[in-house]
Amino acid sequence: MIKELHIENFRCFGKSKLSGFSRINLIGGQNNAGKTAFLEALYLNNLPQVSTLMQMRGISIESIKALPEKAWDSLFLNYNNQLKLTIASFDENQVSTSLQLSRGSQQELLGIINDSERSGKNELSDLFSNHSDSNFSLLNLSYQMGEQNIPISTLVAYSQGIWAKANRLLDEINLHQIYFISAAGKASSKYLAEQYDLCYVQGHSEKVKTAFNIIDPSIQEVRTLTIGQSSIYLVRANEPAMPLAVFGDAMNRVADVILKLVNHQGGILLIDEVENGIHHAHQKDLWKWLFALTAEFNVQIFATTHSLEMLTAFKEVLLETDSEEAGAYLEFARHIKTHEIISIKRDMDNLDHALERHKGVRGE
Amino acid sequence: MSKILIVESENDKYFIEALLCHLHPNLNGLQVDEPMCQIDDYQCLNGLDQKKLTNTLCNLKDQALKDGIEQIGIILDQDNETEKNRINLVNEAIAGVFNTQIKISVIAQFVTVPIDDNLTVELACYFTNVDGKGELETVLKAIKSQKSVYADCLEEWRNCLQAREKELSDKDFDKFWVSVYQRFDCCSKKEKSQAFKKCSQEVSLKNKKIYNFDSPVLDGLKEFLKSF
Repeated sequence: MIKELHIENFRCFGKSKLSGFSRINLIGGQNNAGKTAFLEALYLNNLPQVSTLMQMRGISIESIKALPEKAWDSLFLNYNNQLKLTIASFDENQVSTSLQLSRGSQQELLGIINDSERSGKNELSDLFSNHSDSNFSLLNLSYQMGEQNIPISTLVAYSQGIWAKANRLLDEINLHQIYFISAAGKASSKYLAEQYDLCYVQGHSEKVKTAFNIIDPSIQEVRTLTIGQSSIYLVRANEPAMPLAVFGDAMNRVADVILKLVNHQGGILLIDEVENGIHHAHQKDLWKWLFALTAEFNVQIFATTHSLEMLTAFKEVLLETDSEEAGAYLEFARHIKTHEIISIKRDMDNLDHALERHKGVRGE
Repeated sequence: MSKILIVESENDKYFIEALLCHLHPNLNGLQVDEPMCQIDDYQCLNGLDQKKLTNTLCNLKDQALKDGIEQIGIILDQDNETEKNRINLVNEAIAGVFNTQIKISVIAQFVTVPIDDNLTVELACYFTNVDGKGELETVLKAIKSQKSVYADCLEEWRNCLQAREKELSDKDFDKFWVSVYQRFDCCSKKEKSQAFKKCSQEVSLKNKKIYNFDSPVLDGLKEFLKSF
């Protein structure tokens, strides 16, 4: 389980040490307090691949092609690509996994091209020689393991896209499986159907149905069908089976969360704006189910929220659970003196006391 | 950077706000925090709970990280406790919240405690009392400025109870006394038709001249408030 994250020069984080994480971590704070950037940092720390970077806000294939020399700048604090960006996670044994990102130089790019030519692979020199402009930007990714710096990959952004060189297999480094559900993200019908089939084979489909029943108690059956495309279908009493898509965003989101949870034991799930689409009447029961499933499947969740109702429901469930390891609420704010982003961990009694007195606990 | 006062109850909050207004409309920007005890908080009826003081201080510590708090004043009722015991209660809460060995040794004197590597806050405490014991109602009874016929006749009621071997603590008696003073002695016939609005504790303390805020009974508390 990740217990601490140190972030330097990533997005809005200058130098922050964020700690006190438990199994389910709910993060509150004002807009632009760094909540989503925090999730991105965790994501990158555990899955430093091109696909991860392409999910980062401000990075898209279109923006890379249009302005390759600035492709990676949005990752760095104040867009200063000369800084060394570090994201270090610490587990319960204080074992650190420290990812470093740094901007590479033109000389490094020439070096990579020369190396590939020497080994008889000319596609790189062909690739870059076809472009008369010199607008490239290199991003080096490496892990710091103790005293050793281990290069992972080098990414080159240029006017036709991204070229990536993998220096080291990630399998050799002990990382968690990690999944990101963005605030506006909606999983495809095909993906959800495949994931449901996987959980069915593993004998966990009832857990998904239980989650659906929290939102809609009238659902009696869940199955996958392929009619044109694969989709999860839900059956209510005296009604025909209907695709999940017609049931609304809450059901899609719940399906995505629960399926990722039950299908990826021991992993980490990142959920931005966890309350999206979930009616307040269902929030407490949903939290209860998430607490039960994360314990059963040993999954760690980091979720952000703006919702006071979602926070209150979380607090009520955690007070009933009476286990510090089960969950934590962390308020993100800027330190009054240093202006760095801090996380204020609130124990549940204290949070209860603060909420009763209408105190600001979401960055106010 | 703000300066915050912690009080036990809503009535304490109204009283301190009224006193601050009397001393100066904006005494150094001093704010009275939401009381530790809410109006329907039965846990507090039997006296201050250590946990509530700790939670209140903890919330202020968290708030200080975001907003900056320069000074915190803790105002508790002395009740029938010694000053030393009350100070110990405060110091236990400080130790638990700020993880420090720094202690308050005398009332109305600030100590500086660390919040983190970059931030500190000054803390001081005062205990509401008349001649070394009591609570807010004890003080209010001592500084009343109007005739209190209805309230004073409660003594006869108390004697009646004692004659029938029924006990009524000074604390409870003082609460009755203040309530009757405000509700009957200082509430006009017209006001009584809207007693909830016109004769409530808040209105009685803040809008009516029924207490003498220049009384020497309040000298210690006023000096404490002026020290912020």
